[in-house]
Amino acid sequence: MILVFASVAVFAQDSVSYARPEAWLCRPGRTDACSVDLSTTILSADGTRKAERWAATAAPAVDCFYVYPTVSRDTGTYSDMQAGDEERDVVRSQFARFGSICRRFAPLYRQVTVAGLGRMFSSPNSGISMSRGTNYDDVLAAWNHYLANDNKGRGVVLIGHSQGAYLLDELIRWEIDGKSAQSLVVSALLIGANIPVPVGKDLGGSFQSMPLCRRDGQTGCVVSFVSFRSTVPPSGRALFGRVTTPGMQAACTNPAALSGGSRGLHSYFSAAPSIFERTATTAYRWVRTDPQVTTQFVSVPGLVSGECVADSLGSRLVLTVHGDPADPRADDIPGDMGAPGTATRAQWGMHLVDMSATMGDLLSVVARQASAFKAPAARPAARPAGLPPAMQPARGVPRLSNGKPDMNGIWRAFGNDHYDIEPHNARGALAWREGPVVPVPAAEVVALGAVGSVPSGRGIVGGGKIPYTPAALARRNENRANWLSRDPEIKCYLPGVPRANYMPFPFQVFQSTSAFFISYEYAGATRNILLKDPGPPEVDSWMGQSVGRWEGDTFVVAVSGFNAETWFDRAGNHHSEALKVTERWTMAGPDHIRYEATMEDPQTFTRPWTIRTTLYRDVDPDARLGQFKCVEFVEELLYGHLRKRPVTTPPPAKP
Amino acid sequence: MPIHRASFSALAGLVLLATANHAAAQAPARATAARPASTLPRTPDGRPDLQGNWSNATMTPLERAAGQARALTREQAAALEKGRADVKESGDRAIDPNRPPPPKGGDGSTGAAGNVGGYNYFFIDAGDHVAFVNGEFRSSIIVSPANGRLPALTPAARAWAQQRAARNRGFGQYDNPENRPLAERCLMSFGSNAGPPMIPNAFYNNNYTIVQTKDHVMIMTEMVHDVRTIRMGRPTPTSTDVRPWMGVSWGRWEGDTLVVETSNVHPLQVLSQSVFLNAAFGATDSLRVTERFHLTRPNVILYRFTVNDPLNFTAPWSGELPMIRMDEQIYEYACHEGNYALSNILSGARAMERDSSAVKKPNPKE
Repeated sequence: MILVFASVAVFAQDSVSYARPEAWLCRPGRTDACSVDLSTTILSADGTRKAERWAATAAPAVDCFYVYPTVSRDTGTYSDMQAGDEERDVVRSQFARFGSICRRFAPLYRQVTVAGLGRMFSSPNSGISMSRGTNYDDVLAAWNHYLANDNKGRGVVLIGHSQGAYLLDELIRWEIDGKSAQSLVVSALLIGANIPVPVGKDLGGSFQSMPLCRRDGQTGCVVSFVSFRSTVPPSGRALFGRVTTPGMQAACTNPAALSGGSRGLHSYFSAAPSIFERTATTAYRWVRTDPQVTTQFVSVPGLVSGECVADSLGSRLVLTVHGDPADPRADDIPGDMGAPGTATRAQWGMHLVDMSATMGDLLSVVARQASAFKAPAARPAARPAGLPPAMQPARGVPRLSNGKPDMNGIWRAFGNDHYDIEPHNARGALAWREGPVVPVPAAEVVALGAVGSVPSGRGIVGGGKIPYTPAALARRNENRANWLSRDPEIKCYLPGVPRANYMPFPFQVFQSTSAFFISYEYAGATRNILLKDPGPPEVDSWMGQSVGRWEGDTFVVAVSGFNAETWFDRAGNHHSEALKVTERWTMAGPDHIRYEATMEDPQTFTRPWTIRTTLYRDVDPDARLGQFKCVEFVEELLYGHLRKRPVTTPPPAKP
Repeated sequence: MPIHRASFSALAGLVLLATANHAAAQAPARATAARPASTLPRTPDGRPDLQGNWSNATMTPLERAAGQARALTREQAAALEKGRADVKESGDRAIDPNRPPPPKGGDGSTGAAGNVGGYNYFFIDAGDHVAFVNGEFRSSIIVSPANGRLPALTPAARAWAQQRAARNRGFGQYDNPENRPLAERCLMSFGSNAGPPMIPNAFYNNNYTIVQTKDHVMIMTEMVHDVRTIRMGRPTPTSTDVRPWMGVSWGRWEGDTLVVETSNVHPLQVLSQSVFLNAAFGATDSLRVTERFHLTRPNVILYRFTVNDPLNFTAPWSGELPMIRMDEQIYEYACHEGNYALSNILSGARAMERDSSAVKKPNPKE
């Protein structure tokens, strides 16, 4: 019992390894959540029934990668990695059927649970996000694992609904759009999520080079919609059909009529409500007379039609139900959130059956795309020999003679994240004392005025908040209150990793085929990133021991062997000597590096967390790294009180 | 390499006095007969590959002792090396756990370990071989002037040195952090490790990492993680108002030799950062250093340099020594972060002042 508990606890804090078979709901070549009976009863309007058998294709030409919607009934904000009935069930209703076209991959991931969603809605400052947090960290890790181990140059269809679609939207923006991996994407089905596009256009919102799908057989494009009943249009407080960016609207592509217009939908509804659909209150009864349907699915030709409509209420797929009380078939479909007549229905629409109502049409779209798609492996492409196409770089990335992206140059981060890596407002000072009305800047910094204040920052921490343990959070707040005496940067101490990379100083990368060395302007800090793993670090240090390896075009650096003295920023964010940092350096173009770092430290954090930022090249032809050997600059601070005759009266307090 | 985490610079001032009491475990820099250039490791763009970790530790001092020739005989060199090996061996012996504490006030000797107990041999790594260059066992690193000694200072430099000395007489050596040597303050390595020119100290950590790209050569000195960034190509001018530590360096290839020219060296940078009060010649803005790195064997760089500082020296001076490849890691040398020495030195001096004034002033209560 103790053993079981311990293993679960450890697992909850680790990053997920998608090399573990149980981290996937579906993978090809095994019996799992995708190995289900998908037989369907076709119910015609006249009451006749026809059985439709289903079988997976024997020769899938492409792959499908599916991220499921919010289903987890786990009580925490984020789910565990144990597959439950709810996850298996939604795979059956939303994804398994794509096995008629593709190899199916569906990672389990630590999603925001139904309970977490409730917390997100009830508390605007919860920090819970549909697209940043362990949910994204896991989907990204699964995608990377798939690319590195399974893809092998095949085309892949990205399929997500609701939370899954928001996560894929994020994944595409960061990892695929305009990058080499885009050449692998047959299409993306981002259903039940608001994906922005400029009003009247198919491109230029969420994505810069993946347009909406507008004709049959078009590949590399996006199918996206949210569905509402014709009789219950979105209300002013609707969650779907609108985006906040001015000039943008939510994408709508009707899978039954990509180029537009109204068309009867080819649905595959669950015969009895799936767990995902149980939130709906409408009863499921597909025929008025017994016997009821015995298959898991029903298809109801002619009962529902769909059309994309964009008006002042929102941009959505309007579902019109053509029930006829004179025939023996049901006159309505289930799928609304909330009870009839409640505000919930006009907020959520037909969210629960977005996929079921259009499943046959989505399959047709994907089947045509799959046959039109030419896998990059089959295309003549100019690329360095020996690199799998999935690992191709963004265009224009310089390379060394060994084919690796060439990161030589002088780089720095923009933004004010060095003040505080969490999202923050501008504030008047870095150190404070009590004031008559509100706190005022501390005596030591008041003379600096506006120069000593803190600019705002949108934050680089995934999910917005660092997942501290309660004790570590208390320590952070104490650090912040005692910033002047505690921040190692004030004393010109070595900055540690990742802090060195987003300080307001540039750094220079010296990269050859046999070395990767970083020289930082601040404090003359250095890192020799070892390309051969010497084993565990022999001694703790300020900058840690860095061991780098290439995963395709991403330079992945494992950093360990830290002491507990460095911070993440000027806001007291800290760690213990158990910290392990995994950095991912990816060139997004000739002059940009996408930088990510995942922090693991079970003594300080309840789970791993990730920062993401962009590093910019100094493109000046005479760019050079300055020198900031600041040891000399802090001697008065550190040793002034030890002078024979201190230069200030009274002498400064001992730091 | 032993791992040095804390600062040991409290003893930096003694480095000039440390003589033959050192041992090390460096690979011998024996044969320097150049190999055919075709067998040397090369970078993808065809340049000699200087990358890796290197040591320039050597028993050969910067300046030649009086009465010696430029080349030592094989027997003289062997005797010097045996002497160091013997000292090393005795230092490596297990110590007597029952030995008494050192005598109060030290044993009277001046060596680093001779007083009240400084470093033992585990920490010392000053080279255990005489520099062997072009078939000669060298008695000094300096080869020009021909006497192996630094050239005479110019009259102006002597005047500056006197001015500095006069100013320094206004201070006690423990009065302020700025009165302490640069190395003790963790501003630079002791000796002139980072250079230019890059000259080993007689203590430890004479280690370097070199990384070579198509347009840069980077040389990191273990102490104090100092990085020299050498840009390759046609130099662009740098304002004389910009004078970083280690200067501004430009490199070029002359055949298989990397030639590095350096100017704009920090005015406080001196040949030995350990010198009390920096009374010696600081770099002037006329200082130019030319260094040549030539891979003679896969594991040996012949390092040659010429210092041109006409405002300080009456003649240019040049030196030669080998850098030997090492297969070991170089660890972080976080000097400043662990610099208990400087605060202890200063607070110790303050305590002594309080003690002596207490002796002078009788306690009013008595």
